[in-house]
Amino acid sequence: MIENKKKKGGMSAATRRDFLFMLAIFILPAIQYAIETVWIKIDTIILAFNNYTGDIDDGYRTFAGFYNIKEVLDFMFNDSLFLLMLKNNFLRWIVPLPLTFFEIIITYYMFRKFPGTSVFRTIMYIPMMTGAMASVLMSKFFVSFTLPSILGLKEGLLNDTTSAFWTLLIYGKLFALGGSILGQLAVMNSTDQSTLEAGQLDGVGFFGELWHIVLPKSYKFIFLGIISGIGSIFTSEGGLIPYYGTNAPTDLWGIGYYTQIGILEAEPSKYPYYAAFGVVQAIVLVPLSNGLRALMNKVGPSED
Amino acid sequence: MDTTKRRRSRKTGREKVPFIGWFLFAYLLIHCVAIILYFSWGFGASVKTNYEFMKDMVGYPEGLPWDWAWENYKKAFELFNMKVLRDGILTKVTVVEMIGNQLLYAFLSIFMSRLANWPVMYVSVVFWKKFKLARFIYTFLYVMMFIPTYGAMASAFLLYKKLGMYDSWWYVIFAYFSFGDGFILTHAYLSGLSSEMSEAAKIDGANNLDIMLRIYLPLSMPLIGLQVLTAFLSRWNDYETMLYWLPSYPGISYGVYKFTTSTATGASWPTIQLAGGMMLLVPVLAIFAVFSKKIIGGVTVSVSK
Repeated sequence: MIENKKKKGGMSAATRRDFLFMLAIFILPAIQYAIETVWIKIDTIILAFNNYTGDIDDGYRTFAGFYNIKEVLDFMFNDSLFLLMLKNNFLRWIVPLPLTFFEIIITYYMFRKFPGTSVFRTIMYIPMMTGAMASVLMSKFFVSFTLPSILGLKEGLLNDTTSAFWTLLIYGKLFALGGSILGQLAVMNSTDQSTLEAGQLDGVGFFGELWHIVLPKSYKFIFLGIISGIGSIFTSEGGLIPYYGTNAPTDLWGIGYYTQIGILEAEPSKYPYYAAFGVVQAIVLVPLSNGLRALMNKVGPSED
Repeated sequence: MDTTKRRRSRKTGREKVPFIGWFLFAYLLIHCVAIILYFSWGFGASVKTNYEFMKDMVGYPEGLPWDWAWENYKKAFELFNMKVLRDGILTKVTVVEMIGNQLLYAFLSIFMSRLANWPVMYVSVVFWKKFKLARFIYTFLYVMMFIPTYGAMASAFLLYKKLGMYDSWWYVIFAYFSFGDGFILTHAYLSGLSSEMSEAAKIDGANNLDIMLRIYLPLSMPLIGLQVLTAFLSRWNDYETMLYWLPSYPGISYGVYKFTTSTATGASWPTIQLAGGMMLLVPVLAIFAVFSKKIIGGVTVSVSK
């Protein structure tokens, strides 16, 4: 087999063929990834330090130093809108947090395959499947007309911003329950069966087994949800776009809504501002989420 | 004899449900019944006349099903039509075209993402031990996953507008030709396949392409099928891609978005809008009804990977 002989200092013909095959498969997706993911990430940082003049076609960039970053920081520290959005997103994160424990208990119920598990799991996942628009449409009329008529209220729940805020928050949480349970269930299922059996022999009860055996295996995933939730204080749009489009009342805005709607309606000259906004978000969020992740690795329930 | 101390039923041998279990059962039952009633309410309201809806906002319409206000669907179908600015010309887009756009977007994006993802993960798995590049591909993707992107939309807008892909199907073709979509699951699945058949095929003189397409691709069909199914459900509901990237090629989901957020549409009646929403919902519920076990199983596997 002459062709398979290894050349001095090189690879054999067969190895070269394999390598070329791999390269042929890899090259086009790699170019796409370099442009679509890597370049866009890098260019976002570059754009944050640029000014953009003109239209998309004939526009050009000039170096702007920290001008855009200063603009963003000025907005964050001196504009009451930012504080309002931060408060809204903080509430969106903190209020449903105690429900996480309830979610865990429900997931554990399903993990133990108590009565109705399969049916409950399927039905609870339906709202996740139906997607934002159809669900939003129904909820919009349900909370505006039907629920007030059942509860005997004079006004629809989306009519004033305070009730709209809480209605959207509760609705979002209840409808997302099926998805988060499914995620937690997948992680709980990785619990070692022999440990569970050993626990059963020791007569460990419902909560004992959950706390001492199952949770130590799955708390990282649960905490990951909490950590990404902390990130959402700085990024969440609060689910407003499907309900209100670009016309949500300012009192309901989240930071994500401000940036998403802003960029959608902005002139190209405002793009560097939104890129700078992203850079500032990253400066806050990357150390925060990584720090919490490190903390999570040190603290947590232990297997006794 | 059961040696565990956990209480079991004498009749069935099944584990006895503790008190807290029954409490949770009751909660879950109420929650699930509420979900069913909620969707049922949505359907009921969509086949009511406006008068019936304002008179009774909770129940089903009076009379037999063939007497219900099915014309709401016809009206929604007509009122969904929208006008968009395409290549500088105001163009009317019908519901049929919107459904076509949504299907084209769903299939094109899924096809492009699988076209990039599966072969790249295949070479990464097959040549994992042989080439550093194969290991690098996976590790690089994994690391990139932890570098978050904020504010990237501005740069992405500039890029796609300059490339002339903004508001064109080229955007879908290019942006979704990404091997990063679901790479962990694909990699894990391919790693679990036996290499015996490919070794035998190699001895018989099969080349790399033959082995990839004739042996591993058919073996990967259950995974690809699941990925296509779950991706289709999410793409069918996706209105944001059209909102940001394809505004003059609205899909049905974007149509519903426009329908509900616009005050100029003239279709402000809940019954008509709900009929529009039901049109979006029916295909999803039908697919979920048939494939619910596979979809839920697939989601569970994806998370655990």
